[in-house]
Amino acid sequence: MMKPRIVRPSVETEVNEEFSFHVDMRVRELVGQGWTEEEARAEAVRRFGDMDRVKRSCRDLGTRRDVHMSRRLGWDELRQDLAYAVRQLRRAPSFAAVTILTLGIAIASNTSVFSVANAVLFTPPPFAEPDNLT
Amino acid sequence: MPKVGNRLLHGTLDTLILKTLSYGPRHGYAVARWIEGETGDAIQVEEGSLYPALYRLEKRGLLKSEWGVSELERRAKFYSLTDRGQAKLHAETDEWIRFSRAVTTVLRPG
Repeated sequence: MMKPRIVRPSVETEVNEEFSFHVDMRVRELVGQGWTEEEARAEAVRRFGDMDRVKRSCRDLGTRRDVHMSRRLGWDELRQDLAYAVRQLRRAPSFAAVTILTLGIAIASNTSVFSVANAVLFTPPPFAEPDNLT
Repeated sequence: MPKVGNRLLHGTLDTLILKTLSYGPRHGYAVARWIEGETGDAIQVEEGSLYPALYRLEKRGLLKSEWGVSELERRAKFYSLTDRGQAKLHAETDEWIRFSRAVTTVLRPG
């Protein structure tokens, strides 16, 4: 019964199309019971009730569903990327060691040079009127 | 004739939908007809309760939906159960049986 997958339409189209499918199916059923096409359609719409209200609440729920879903997909992608990175590093341990060492040394030297420069060059000495020191 | 979402207990329709879809993917109309048929038309499923329930269940990750082609060669939206939906159905079924037994015990003429 489930045949090839069709691309998902926008939430609004989705709701409209789904509801008109429902009404058409009901019309078909009633016509099968001997109703005329016109009467059947009127009855199917009547049975559906306040269609605009139902459409509104479904559109709202559908929009929130999509937000949830894309958020979940985003996290899934991030997790996959991280897992891939870890796998790659595991596969080449010496490369990983060199990379980590390089980054470590670079960050450490950068931090210490900045700390010294900050203390010596940028922070004013802890006296009043430091410009008048002799 | 009782209508789900109206007079029946809150949450019953959700469980009935999950049960229906445990037999395989169906579109909304088929879900309604199946519940009506299974209960001998004792329960009439209102569209105004059915579709919001389907969308809500999908938002909660208990159902998923996919567009496909219906038995009449028309585009239709098919719902199916997720693993979480399956687990929820089991839990709700147990809960319902316990609850209805308790109520029956109280109501049974003594």
